[in-house]
Amino acid sequence: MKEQYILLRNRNAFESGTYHPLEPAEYRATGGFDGLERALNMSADAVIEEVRTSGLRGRGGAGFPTWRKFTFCVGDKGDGVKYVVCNADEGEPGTNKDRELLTVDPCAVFEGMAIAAKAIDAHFGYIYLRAEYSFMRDDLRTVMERCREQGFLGKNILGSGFDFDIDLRMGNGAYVCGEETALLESLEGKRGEPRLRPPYPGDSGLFGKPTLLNNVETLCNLPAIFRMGAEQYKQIGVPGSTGTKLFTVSGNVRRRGVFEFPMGINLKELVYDFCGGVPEGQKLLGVQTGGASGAIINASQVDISLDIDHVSASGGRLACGTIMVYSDRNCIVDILCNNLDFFREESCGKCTPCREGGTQLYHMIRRISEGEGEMRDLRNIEEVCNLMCATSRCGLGTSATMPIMSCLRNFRPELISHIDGDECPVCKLKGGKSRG
Amino acid sequence: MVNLTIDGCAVSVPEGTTILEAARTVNINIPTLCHHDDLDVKAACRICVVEVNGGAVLQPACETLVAEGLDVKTATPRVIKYRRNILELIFARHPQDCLTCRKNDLCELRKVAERLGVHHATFYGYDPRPDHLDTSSPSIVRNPAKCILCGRCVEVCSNVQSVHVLAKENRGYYTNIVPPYGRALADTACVNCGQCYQVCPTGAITINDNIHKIYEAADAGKDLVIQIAPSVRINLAECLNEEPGTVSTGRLVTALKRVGFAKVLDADFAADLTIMEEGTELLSRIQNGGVMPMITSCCPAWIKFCETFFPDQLGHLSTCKSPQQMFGPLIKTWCAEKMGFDPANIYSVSAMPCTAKKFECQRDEMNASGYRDVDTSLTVQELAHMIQTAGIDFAKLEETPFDSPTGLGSGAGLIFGATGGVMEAALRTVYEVVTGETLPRLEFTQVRGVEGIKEAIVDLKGTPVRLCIAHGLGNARKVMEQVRAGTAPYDFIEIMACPGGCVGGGGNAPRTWAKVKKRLAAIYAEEQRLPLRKSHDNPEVQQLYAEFLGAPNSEKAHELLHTHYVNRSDLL
Repeated sequence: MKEQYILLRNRNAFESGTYHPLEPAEYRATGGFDGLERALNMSADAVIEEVRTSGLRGRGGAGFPTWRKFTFCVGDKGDGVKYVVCNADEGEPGTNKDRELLTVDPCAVFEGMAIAAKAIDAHFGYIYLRAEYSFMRDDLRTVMERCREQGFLGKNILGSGFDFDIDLRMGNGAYVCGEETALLESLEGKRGEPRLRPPYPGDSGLFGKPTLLNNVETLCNLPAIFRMGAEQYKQIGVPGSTGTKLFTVSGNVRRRGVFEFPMGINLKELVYDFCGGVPEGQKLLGVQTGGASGAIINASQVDISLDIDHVSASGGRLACGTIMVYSDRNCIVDILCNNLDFFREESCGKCTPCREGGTQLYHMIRRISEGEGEMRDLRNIEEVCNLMCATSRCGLGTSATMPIMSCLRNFRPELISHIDGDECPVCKLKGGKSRG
Repeated sequence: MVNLTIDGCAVSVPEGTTILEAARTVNINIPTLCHHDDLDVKAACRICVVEVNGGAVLQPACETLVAEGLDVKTATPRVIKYRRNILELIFARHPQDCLTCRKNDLCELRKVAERLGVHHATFYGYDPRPDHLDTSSPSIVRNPAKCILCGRCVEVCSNVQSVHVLAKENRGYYTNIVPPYGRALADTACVNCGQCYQVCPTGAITINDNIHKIYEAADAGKDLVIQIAPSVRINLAECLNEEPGTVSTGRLVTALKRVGFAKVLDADFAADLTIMEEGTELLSRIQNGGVMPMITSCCPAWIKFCETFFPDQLGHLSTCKSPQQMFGPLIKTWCAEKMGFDPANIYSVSAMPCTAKKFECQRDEMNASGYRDVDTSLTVQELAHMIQTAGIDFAKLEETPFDSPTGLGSGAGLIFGATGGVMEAALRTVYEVVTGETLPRLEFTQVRGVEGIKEAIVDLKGTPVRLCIAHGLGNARKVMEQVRAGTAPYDFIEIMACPGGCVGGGGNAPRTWAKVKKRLAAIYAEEQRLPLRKSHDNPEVQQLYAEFLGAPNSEKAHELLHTHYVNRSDLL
């Protein structure tokens, strides 16, 4: 099993010190901006058609077809001002792929944004950078300025007559600002709360203008598509999920880090073969795909293909590529408790089901984790989850229930034993304590 | 028109209608909490969720627009179960001391719980929201423990009034609505307008109640004197469960006499006096090249707003006190003598549609009589409570006239309660003083109505006077930015902080525009009935000048009836 570097193609050179990401000229020398150059010579329609052919789907979470997102922003709308926004608010716990991309090849992000801008006829873009990544801010500004000086950004890019420039804005640490409309609110300087839709960002987004929002990794795929051609690009991966994917593997596993593989590799092979499995003397408990809002599958379920549709079917989400490995040194109830505490804090707080429902889920699971749970808590947990899924204002309310709902299916015996059974081998708490 | 089915009823409504509105047309009232007829759609509480085309995900009726052929179910067992569950989630963090809650039977949360039949305690663990009771403000009491985070107050404070004091802080479980930097409300730019109280569905925002002070003063043997603001007679009956716009002037005097007030005086009289002073000041500014445009100063919330946000523009404000504060020193001087009271023993109360008046009567400089000019200000709501506490059946009361003198007010004084009213009252007097002619037609209808910023030009025998009327502080801010830039094309500006003017004030029964419009209609209808309709024709005002003040803007008048302003920009 071998990595395939498309987006991270300069990573080895970077790590050996021979490649300098802050020098646009070095990026150019490795084929950087070739894709943009090609796109600038195409019509906007042809650019979108090329993306469509490539089969590229969003790498932020939902796996939405990228070309369709482009089409929402196309056409004469209002005064003609449009924006391209790069979502670099990588808030999903256990995810570091965007950080890797922004570190190894920041110019690729700019290039991707410029290609997207060409497709929808926008001339200005923003990068919304996660607060925790503020250490990158100065470097990004430096390389942005160099790109401007060398004609890769700003007026008349690469002599094409097309203008596109970028500015950088910092987030302030709210998970919900990864949601596109909350991000736009935050970008406008307001409190990051999801907007009501419609209108959709493609019609009225940032400052009321048509806005295209894409994840860092999605945008980084665009230079590759235009450099190698969509036909060749779509040979990578599997039908329905083309291209490569960056995975962040973390948790109780021997080899951790950010890796790039073609779509459709097998999760079991990734964990056991490539990453060496769980440490000596431990057994695999489960894997959470898709970050804090992804499903947790048990050890018997890990033999699945890592493509967008397969992972969705398992209740997880592939697109952000987060692989969190848990061994039997962890208690599943403890994991859930931690997870729900995260959502209790990271709900934006606007709608009742997500804010208060998340709070009560946390309370119920905490009671179970402390050995104070009762069987009826499981029923109540399910009720609250159903409520949150049916009535929340945005996707966060639904996402927050994914780990716990999947555990009710995949780890029911463990949950029951924490309530009613013998001592939990991990947290040493006796189940059913409350009944004396 | 869009055709759809709601609970089996065929409905045909215009495009752009929400499911909530469409349901009302077939007599289905979907419960709401965060929704308010006057405000933007928030879709935050999720109480109004309904089933659309049998979908698994429920849609909020307040936000979802109708579409052709929709099949909406508003009260299936599943919908009702989820609504109850949402309420239980709210209850798990809401204090359950309804019996002693200040909001009590006005609480919308309680009403919704009753409607949905939530009669059992929540099965979740009780985990109340942080309780930082803030009683620092003379006008408003905040109890964040009772907040359900609907966001209405934030919208009113920020978008409508542009004061930006209330905002959300933190997120998720820790979300709170607070003034900036953890300050107490009294130490912020809050202008005390009470519009947040008007829209708050629960006991999280209530009026700072002064009723006990009245009982204490009565116990101490004080002579209780109360002045009744113009709009109180329009709004009081509504607080006592009568129709909005029911005028109750005579009944209200009877009730207050029974409650224990020795004298019940009409602040319409003080409003007439304000017109004499302010009209004279306007003419003097026009003739002597004073600071123009001149801006009215009747509204204490507007005054604090101007002192805080536009301290460099204070010269535009009329130096006239508000009617309440003109009446205050007169009650403890001229009136005291007429009534045979020792001013030191008078406890002077004002009944106001307004929460900001509580702040105004406490201002340091309001002691022109040698005493505190107005000891306490009560809102219409508090007045209604006093009447209820006294066991008075308000609906059946006989009528009593105001005490005299200073019990006579003109229609011009009465319309102070409506946006544009001060302007219209001033025009009636200024026109006749300047032209020496009688007005052919009294009504200046161009200054009436609920448009946020109104403009008009009135011809005073060859001199055009350019007028502007703004209500709602968001509109006031727009006008003031022009004034600051020197581009405001006006001579005289009327500003009222509350949308609709005083009849939409913070101390009234909870507002909607529909109710405020009924109150506005009532005030103009009542005005037409009055025998006196011009301030300068008021014989009691004439008597006051003849016996006591001399002439408008005299030295004595300046001492008692005019004031100065302070820079409060340090509150920002």
